[in-house]
Amino acid sequence: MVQTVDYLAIGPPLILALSALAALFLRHAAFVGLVLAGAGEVVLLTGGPRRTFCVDTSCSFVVDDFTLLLQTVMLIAGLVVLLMAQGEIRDTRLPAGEFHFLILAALSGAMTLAAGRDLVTLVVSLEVVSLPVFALVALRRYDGRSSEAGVKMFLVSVVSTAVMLFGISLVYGATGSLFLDRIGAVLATPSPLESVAGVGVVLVLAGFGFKVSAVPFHFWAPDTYQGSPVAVAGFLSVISKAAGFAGLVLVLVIAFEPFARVWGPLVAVLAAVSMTAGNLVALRQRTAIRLLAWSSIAQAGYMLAPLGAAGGGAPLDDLAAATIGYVAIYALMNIGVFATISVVGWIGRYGGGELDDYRGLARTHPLVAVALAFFLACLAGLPPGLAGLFAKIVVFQGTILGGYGWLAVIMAGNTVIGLFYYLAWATRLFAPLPDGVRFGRIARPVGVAIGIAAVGTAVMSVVPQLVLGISTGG
Amino acid sequence: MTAAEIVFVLLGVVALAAAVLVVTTRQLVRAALYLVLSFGAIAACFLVLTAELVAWVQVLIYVGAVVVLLLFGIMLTRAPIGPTSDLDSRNRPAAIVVAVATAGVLVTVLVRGFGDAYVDLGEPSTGSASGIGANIFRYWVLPFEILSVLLLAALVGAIVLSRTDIGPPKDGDG
Amino acid sequence: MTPTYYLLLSALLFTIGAVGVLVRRNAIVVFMCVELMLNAVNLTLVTFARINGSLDGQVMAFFVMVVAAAEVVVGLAIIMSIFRTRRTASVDDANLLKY
Repeated sequence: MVQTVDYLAIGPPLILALSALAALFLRHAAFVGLVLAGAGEVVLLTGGPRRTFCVDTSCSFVVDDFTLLLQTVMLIAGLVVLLMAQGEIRDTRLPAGEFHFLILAALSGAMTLAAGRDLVTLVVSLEVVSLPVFALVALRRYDGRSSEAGVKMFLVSVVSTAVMLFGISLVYGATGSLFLDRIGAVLATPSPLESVAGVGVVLVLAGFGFKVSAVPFHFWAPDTYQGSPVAVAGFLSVISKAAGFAGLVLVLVIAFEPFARVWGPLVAVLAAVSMTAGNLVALRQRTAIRLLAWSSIAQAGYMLAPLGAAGGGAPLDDLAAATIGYVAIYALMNIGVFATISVVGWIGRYGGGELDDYRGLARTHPLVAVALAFFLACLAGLPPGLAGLFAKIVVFQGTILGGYGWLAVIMAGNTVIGLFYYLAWATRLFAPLPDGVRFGRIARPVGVAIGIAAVGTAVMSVVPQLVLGISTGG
Repeated sequence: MTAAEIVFVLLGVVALAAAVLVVTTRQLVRAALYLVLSFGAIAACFLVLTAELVAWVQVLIYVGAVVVLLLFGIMLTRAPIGPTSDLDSRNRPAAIVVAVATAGVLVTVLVRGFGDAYVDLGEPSTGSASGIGANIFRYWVLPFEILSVLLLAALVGAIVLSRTDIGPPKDGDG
Repeated sequence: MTPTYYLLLSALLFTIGAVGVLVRRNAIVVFMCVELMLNAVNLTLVTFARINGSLDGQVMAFFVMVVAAAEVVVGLAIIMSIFRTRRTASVDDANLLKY
C-alpha cells in the first residue's frame, strides 16, 4: 500500500518551500510564492475539508477550517514580515536571497504544522519553524547582542525540544501510536499506563510552553527580540507563536482531550502567571521592542486562558475556538505594530528605538501614527480597536464558560494594566514634535506592509465572525 | 538473568558512568570523548533490542558526525586544553533538586507502568534496513519530506552565519 | 527480558542531561548535555517500539537523530559567530542583554 497524495491540500506549504528555493537565486520569487500560496488558500477555502497522507482512517495532513484560518493568517503575516525586512536588508547588506529563503522555509514549516495531525509531523515541522529562525536571529553579525540572542534562543529551544520529545516518547509508550486521533481514543479508556501518559502530557506541555514563550519559559524572548532584526522579531512574536499555539491546541484538544483535568489547571496557572508577569514588566520598559516582547508574553497568557478552563468540563471545541480566534486576531494586529516600529527604527539605534522617540510622529507622519495607535488600541482591547475587543470578549466567555472565575478576574486586572502602557505609548505619538527631531521618509515596502496589516485588522474589527468560532473539528 | 540482560546491565553502567563524567569533568575535550563512550554504549543497547539500523545510524550520526563537529567547535573556540575551573555555574543546589525530582517521578512512573512488561528477544528482528525503509515510505512520507526542507534550511543557515560581508548601516540614519 | 531496565536507563540518562544543562556554563558542553537527553529519548522510543511490536518508535528515533544533526550544524555556526565577536563560548559571560 502506498499513500496517496492530495497535491492541492499540501499546495500552499509546498509552493512556499519551492519558492524558498527559487528565492535563493531570484529576487522576487519570494513574493510570487506568497501570492501563489495565497491563491492556493483561496481555492482550498471554497472546497470542503481535505485529508491526505492517511493510514487507514488516521491522516497526517488535514486541511479543515482550523488549518485554513491559521495558514491564511500566517501567510499574511509572512508577507508583512518580508515587506518590512526590505529596508534593513538594503541598509545592512543582509543577504536578501538567504533571508527570503529562511523566512519562507520557516513559514512553510509553520503552515505544515497547522495541518499536521500526528506527532512526528508536528515535531519535525516545529523544528522547521525554529531552525531557520536561529540563523535569522543571529544574522546581525556586527552586533554582539545578535549572536548572543541567537545562542540564548538556540539553547532554550533545543532543551525544550528535548523535553517535549521525551514527553512524546512516554505518550507513545503508553498509547502505542503517534497519530493524534488514535492517541485520543486510547487515552479515553482507563489503563494502568495512565500515569506514564500523564507525565508525558506534562512534559509536552512544558515543551510547548517554551515555544509560545509563556512564563516561566519566557526568559529567552525579550533578549532575542532585542538582538534580532525587527522583522525577525516580528516573525518570532507572530508566526512562531501562532505555530506554537497551533501545535499546542492540536495536541491538547485532539490527543490529550481525556486528560483535560490534568493539563487544564496547569495551563490555567501558566496563563495567569504569564499575563501578570508579562504586563507588570512591560510597564517598566522604555524601549519599543522590549515592551512588545513582554506584551507578547502577556498576550500568550490571554491565549492560554480559555484552554486553561478546560478542566471545568466545558466543551473543548468552544475553548479551542476562543484561543485560535485570539491567536488569529493577535497575529494581524501585532505584526502591524512591528511593521510600524521598523519605520521608526532609523532615528535611533536599530530595533524600534525608545518609546520617547515616538513623540510627535503624528505631526510628520499622520497615517503611520494613526495606524500604530489603532494597532495599540487593538492590543489593549479598546475601541476603536474592535478586533482586539472582540477577541478579549471571546476569551473571557471561554474562561467563564469553564467555570474559572478567578482566572477571568486576573485577566480583567491585567487588561487594565495593559491599557495603561499601550495608551501611554499611543499618547506619545500625538505629543508635540520635540525640537530638532526629524523623521525620515518611509520606504514603500514598509508602507505597504503597514497598509496590509491595518486593512487586515480593520476587517477583523468589522467582521470578527470570520475568525471567531472556528475549531479543530478532529 | 539471561545473557542479554547481563550484557545490557554492563552497557547501561558504561552509558550512565560516561554520561555522569560528561556532566562533571573539568576538561572540555574529555567531555566530548566521554560522550562518544556513552553514545557507543547506547548504540550497543539498540543492538540488544534488535534495532539494527537505528544502532548503526546512531554510530554514524552521533559518534561520527555530531561529536566530531562538537570537537571542532571546541578547537575553533580555542577552549583551554586541560582543566578549566569555571565550567560550572552556581545553580548547583537547584540542579540537584531538579535531578532528584525528575529521576524520582520518571522512575516511579515507569516502574509502576511497565514493571511487568516482557519482550521476547527471540522474535525475528524487525529493525532491519528494509523493514524501516518500508515503514518510512509507507506511513511517514510527509515528515520525511519535511526533513528535506529542514536539512536545506540548516545548510543555508550555517552558510549565512559564516558570511562576513554583513555590516552595520553605512551612515547614522541608515 | 524485561524492558524496564531500558526505561530506567533512559530516565536516568535524561536526568543527567537535564542536570548538565542547568549546571554547565560552556555553550558547547550544554549542547552535549542536550544530546544526552535526545539519546535518552531515542532509547525510550526504541524500547517502546519493541514493547508495542511496531516500528513507529524506531522511525521516530530516526527523525530525532536527523533533527539533532541539523541542530548541531546551526548551533555550532551560531556559537562560532558569538565567539568571533566575544572570544568566549561561556553562556554566563554572554550578558550584553539585560532586563
